[in-house]
Amino acid sequence: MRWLVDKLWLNLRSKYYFRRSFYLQAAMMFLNNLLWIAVISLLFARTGSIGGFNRAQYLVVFSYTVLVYGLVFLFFGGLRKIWQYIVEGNLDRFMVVPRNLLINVAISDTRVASIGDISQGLLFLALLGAPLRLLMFLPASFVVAFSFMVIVNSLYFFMRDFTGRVQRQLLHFLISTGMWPVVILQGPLRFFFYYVIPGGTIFFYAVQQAYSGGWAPKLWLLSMVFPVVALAVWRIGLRRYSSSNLGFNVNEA
Amino acid sequence: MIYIGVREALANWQATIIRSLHMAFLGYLIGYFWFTVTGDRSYMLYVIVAELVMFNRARVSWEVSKLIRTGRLDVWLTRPGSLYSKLFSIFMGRVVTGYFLSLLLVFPMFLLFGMPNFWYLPLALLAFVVEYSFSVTVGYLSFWVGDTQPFRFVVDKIKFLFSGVVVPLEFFPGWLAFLSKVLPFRFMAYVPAKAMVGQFNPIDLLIGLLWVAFLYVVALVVEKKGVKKYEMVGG
Repeated sequence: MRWLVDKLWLNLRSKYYFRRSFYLQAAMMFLNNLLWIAVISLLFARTGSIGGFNRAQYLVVFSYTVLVYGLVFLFFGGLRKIWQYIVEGNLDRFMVVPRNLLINVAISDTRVASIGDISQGLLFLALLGAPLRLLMFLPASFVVAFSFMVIVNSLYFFMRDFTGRVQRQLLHFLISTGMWPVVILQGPLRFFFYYVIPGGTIFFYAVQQAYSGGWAPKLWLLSMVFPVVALAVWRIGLRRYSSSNLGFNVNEA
Repeated sequence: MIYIGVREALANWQATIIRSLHMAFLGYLIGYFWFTVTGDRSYMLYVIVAELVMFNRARVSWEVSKLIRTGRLDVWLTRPGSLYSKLFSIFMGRVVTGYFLSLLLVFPMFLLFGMPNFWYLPLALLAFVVEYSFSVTVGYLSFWVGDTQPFRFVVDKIKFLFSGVVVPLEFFPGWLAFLSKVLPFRFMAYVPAKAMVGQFNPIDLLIGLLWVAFLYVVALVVEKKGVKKYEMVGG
């Protein structure tokens, strides 16, 4: 644990070296999220409630989404780069360190913009009077989001994408499910958005349960299943890894 | 260079499949939302067509920014021609190939929600060129500010908002609707998507072409000033 905290502190200090960029990134992310809040207002201009959520509750879902997303990438910003390490064969330098490889890679970097996400999330949750019970679900949502990101990045052991677009889009997919009302879907698509791309469960369902005073059993169940799947995919993928994975890159063209 | 872009897009075929599935699912979700709100089924088709254009865009600003920051731009500068045109060839090869592959992959969705008017398909090219010219200029800002990531967050959000992918522009209230008309972003998705679902205004094509010319000039001016400031790293 001490190692994790020290590493986070070191990452933040190294990013803080470029102070202007540090503050700018956090502020721009905050502004970016405010723009989405404007979009939500536009959505509610056409309708009074969406899938049983009123405007304030919908904003709580959004704020909770960016909070979870922000926390994952503040502590484990290296997750965003795993695909690159795999494609370029750069996992080697982490392998020689006598630590858990996945955790070591995940904490190798931090995302400064996450500070904007976290501050915006916390601020709006407080302003909107979100139920405190929601904080209880935060660890479970965090674990599922973390595991999902590991799975997405581990896909690069099996596929070719030298630009990282798949990774960016699938991560965007997860956050999109916390922004768009997956609650209005029915049948197999609802299942897809709740259990395959788990945003429906970790964001909408968590908030729904927090308001209704439930214990979110499906969320806790996912928080046990997803890490197992993530570890399995990571380990199977790792067996296929070789240092010469270097691929074609437009920057070398 | 176009051939390199095409080859790269084809080499990344698995990525194209995953990206198309992402577009199809997300497009369905957003389209279904607008369908439930308005009761108009054509929005299902509109969102999918708009997403096809927007999600296949060049994303050139990120790569240009990286080239400048890492000092790898020198390789590009030694080749004849403007940076704009060299990057344009490679990115358009990649974008157009990716777009047609995605179009094939989401084709079953058209059978469900209705066929778009493919006569207006070339308008997607206009969208890619407008988007490319705008994004490459944002990427050029790296000549002055180093990392453009903070700007990209906001610019991307503004682009998504005013291109009509997230909220169809006809739902914008007064001043926002006005802004969406005077900014170039609607040519990045809204105009081609609307044309493909049967609402095309020829004047839009003319205005779009004027935007292409304007953004091209701006990009070249910024490039010229930026390259003068550029310093190579390493040796």
